[in-house]
Amino acid sequence: MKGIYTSITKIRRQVFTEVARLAFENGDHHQFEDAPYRILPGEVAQYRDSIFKERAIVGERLRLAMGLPVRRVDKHSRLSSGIEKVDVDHRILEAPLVNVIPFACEACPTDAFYVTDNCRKCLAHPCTFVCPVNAVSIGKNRAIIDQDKCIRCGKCKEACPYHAIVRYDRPCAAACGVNAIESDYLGRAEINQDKCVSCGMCIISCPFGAIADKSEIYQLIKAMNKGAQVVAEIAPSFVGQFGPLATPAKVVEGLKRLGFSDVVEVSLGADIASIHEAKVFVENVPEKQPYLGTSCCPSWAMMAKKFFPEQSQYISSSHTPMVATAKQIKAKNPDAKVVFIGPCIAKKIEALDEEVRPYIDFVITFEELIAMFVAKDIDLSMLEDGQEPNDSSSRGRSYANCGGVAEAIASNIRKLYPGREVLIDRADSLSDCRKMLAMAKAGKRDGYLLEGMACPGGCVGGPGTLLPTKQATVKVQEFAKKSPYETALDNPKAAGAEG
Amino acid sequence: MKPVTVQICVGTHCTMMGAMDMYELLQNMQQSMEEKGLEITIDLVRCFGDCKANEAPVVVVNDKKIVSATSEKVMEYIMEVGKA
Repeated sequence: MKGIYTSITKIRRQVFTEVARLAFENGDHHQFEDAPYRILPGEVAQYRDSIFKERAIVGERLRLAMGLPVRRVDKHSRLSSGIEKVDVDHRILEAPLVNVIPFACEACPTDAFYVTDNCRKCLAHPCTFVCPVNAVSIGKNRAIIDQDKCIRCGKCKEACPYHAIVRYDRPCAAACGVNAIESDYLGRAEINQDKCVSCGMCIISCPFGAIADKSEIYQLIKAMNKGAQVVAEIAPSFVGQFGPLATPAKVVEGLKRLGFSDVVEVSLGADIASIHEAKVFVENVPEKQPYLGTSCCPSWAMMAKKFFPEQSQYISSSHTPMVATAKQIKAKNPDAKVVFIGPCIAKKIEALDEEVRPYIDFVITFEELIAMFVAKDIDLSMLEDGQEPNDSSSRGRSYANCGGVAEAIASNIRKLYPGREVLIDRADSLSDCRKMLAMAKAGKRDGYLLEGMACPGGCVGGPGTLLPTKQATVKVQEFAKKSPYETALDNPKAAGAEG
Repeated sequence: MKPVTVQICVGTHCTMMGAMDMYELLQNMQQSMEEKGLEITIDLVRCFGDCKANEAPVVVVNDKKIVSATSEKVMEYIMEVGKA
């Protein structure tokens, strides 16, 4: 439901705020047991049929926000069960990241055609004539589709003059670009973790709020409480996410007030990575590899690994902007803990990778960050300006919008290797990314630079954002124009850095 | 129809509670109502300063403050005062 603020968004953010508050206040485990009652006071249900069920579901959301697994329904355990293990000041996140809360799932029917009230039971009833498997018949009040016979060809839907036949899929499955949503024995959604690439689209698409990811805000805040030096690296899509009055300079000031010791733009890492990928492209394509895929989107890279294992070697192995930025931070200050703050939940999984782990200590989203501001009563719009970020080029800042990554790399190639031509293709949803890779596998994208992004619109469309995608795209463009450096090669901080 | 002024608080708390999604929906409303002769002005403003914890988001329509505002509530009220 991106772009429409519903009760589900509200509850999710209340949960993050509650967990952040508990962490800042160093609350004990009893306070955690009480948390569902603070979020849902009183004895009248607001959202579902019963207050008990509402609180039970919020309880599981609170557990996930603490980094705990969802509890089993058929065994007794306390809400705070296992909390000792997560009440720490370092990363404890474990896969699976994306979880269905089974009893919040209403077991929506899976992909099928249905006849609605629009059916006039007309005399012509073309629906029955066009069905190749004789699945449509005329019942007492309307046409009936025999779901056992139906092969979902859609001919009946096309033929009906009253638009009475609709195709209906579960929103989670429709949003999933890798067909990872299956059903458990009660028909409820179940995620096939072998297929899931943690893009988070199911989380923001479920109209019952039955899917949630784990968070690391509790452990992050504990680390800050302990006085650790924590540096925030903030992804290029941050501009405007915290409201139009929260300018980049105020966001920096707000982060410092929260307890971060320094703030660095991840677009700096984007600059470093784009220079590296430009060189890899020119040196290897098409002689040593047929094409080059961009590296920054973890769900796209994970999808390639899981579904096109023999192609994934062509997705750039250059470190992602997240890692390139963290390397810069750790080179200056080896003791600092680094937190990636972005629109993306798949980055939480990327950070668990053996090669990435040493550089990234925590990953949180913009949505989780704003909950931290609110928990600490920081109103960004009232703050004085901090230092305006100045780490990156216009092209680096444009990484957040679809098309921006390939353009940044291509502009480096044009500068470094005048006359060299770059063919570009791109996709900004997982299902389109799959189609693009299938084309590449078939040899139809030789010589190309392929930009893959799992979220519609690019990172600005990520599940951890607050601003509607259209507005966010414009904000990113405006901020990109303010950089004194046009391309990565003009940025003194990026040139000369190792990618 | 009387012109209506809408002020949406975009302080951090109200932003978290959906102020910008509300802005997007009200902009849509502004466009579709313009054709029908209802002029809506939308301002994004700082925190009004006297909010209680559970009142976000806050929207002021003409002079009336709507707390725990939803797009439903706000649009309904805009139509009410616009027609009055």
